[in-house]
Amino acid sequence: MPAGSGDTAPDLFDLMRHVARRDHGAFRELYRRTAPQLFAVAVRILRQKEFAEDVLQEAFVSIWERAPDYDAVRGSPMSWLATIVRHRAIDALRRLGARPEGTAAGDEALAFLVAGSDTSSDRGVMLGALSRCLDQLEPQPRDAVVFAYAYGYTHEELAAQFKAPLGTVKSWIRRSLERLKLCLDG
Amino acid sequence: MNYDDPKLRSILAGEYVLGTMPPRTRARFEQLMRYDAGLARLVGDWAERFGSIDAGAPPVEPPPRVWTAIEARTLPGAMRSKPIRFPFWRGLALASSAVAIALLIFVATKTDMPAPQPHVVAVVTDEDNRPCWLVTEDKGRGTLSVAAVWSPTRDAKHEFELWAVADSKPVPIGLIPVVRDQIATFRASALPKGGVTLAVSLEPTGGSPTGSPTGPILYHGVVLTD
Repeated sequence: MPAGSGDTAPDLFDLMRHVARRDHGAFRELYRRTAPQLFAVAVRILRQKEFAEDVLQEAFVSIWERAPDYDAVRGSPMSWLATIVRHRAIDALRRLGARPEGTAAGDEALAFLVAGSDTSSDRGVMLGALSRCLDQLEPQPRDAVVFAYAYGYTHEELAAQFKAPLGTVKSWIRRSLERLKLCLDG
Repeated sequence: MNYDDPKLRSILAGEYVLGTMPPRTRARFEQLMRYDAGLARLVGDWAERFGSIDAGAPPVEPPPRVWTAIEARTLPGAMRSKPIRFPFWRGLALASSAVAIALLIFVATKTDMPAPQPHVVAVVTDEDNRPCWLVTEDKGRGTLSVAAVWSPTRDAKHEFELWAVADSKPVPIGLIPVVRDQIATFRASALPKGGVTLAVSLEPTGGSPTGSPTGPILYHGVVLTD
């Protein structure tokens, strides 16, 4: 990945290598550098900080254990870490059996896609491309994909949210992923 | 499921990243990814693309207790695998910090009256920065005193153990009192030199059997440099 302005990715790669070798100091630095961004991801999905704290704790214990599995092929360290946090958060939601009360999931998700379109960084360029490709989808499938990613909605929750049959929602997601890939690769 | 169809592989990788995969399917998919670099790469691509959504969101600073718990579970020698939760922290009533510190300095200096004036080397606090133990050093006697400024809740099977942490490596100092105004004394040389953090963990009676913290690290302090 090319280094953009303020892009800390090369250092995170380095830290990940040290963490894989059981360097606890590097682990602490990795936490210091990435926890605020990752905590935001957990809070967005779980809506309550107490739940998000538990998820962040679980995720980092798992990151410490799984660091030797990390390979740059799996994406940047940040997206690898975010995937672990998101999966933990989604599992926590499933265990809770219901979405905790909190900030309502509204069009705010879509606002990320617009507000973050800052093309001065690599992420901004990528978000620009993602946003442009999402816009080529039908409105409901598009929102379903964004809700699934941003808020960890399950197929069942998406079906309830969009008042659509489960099978329909599942095929929205699959079709959307297929079209997104064509658009993003093209 | 046919994991050879390129279109399907990409869709499954996308579902993995989105999080819409049911947990058992996800676990199976992770197993496949270990031996299928192509699949891992597809996951990496999707994670990178969707990750740009996270990068656009404002960061939120987690409270320090999250790292404390992670550290307690990952430091070499940490045996704890269960999640650490902090219910008792959330309704803990303590005297105000200023009053407690003033009281303690009085207690500490009074106890060591004949010796040269001991000086405060650290205040061990809970996650809300409320003082729990005061650590003073008496250079004349070469002693380190740890005084409780509160009476923490703990069951009869546990004790609190004080550790000096330098370079992420905890060195045991000893068991510390749990009744307000009680003082435990150690050799001052127990404290390693330079940039030391203090940590208090909850241990079985008699202290950690391994020489490293085995229970959660619940309290912290920073050694004040001269």
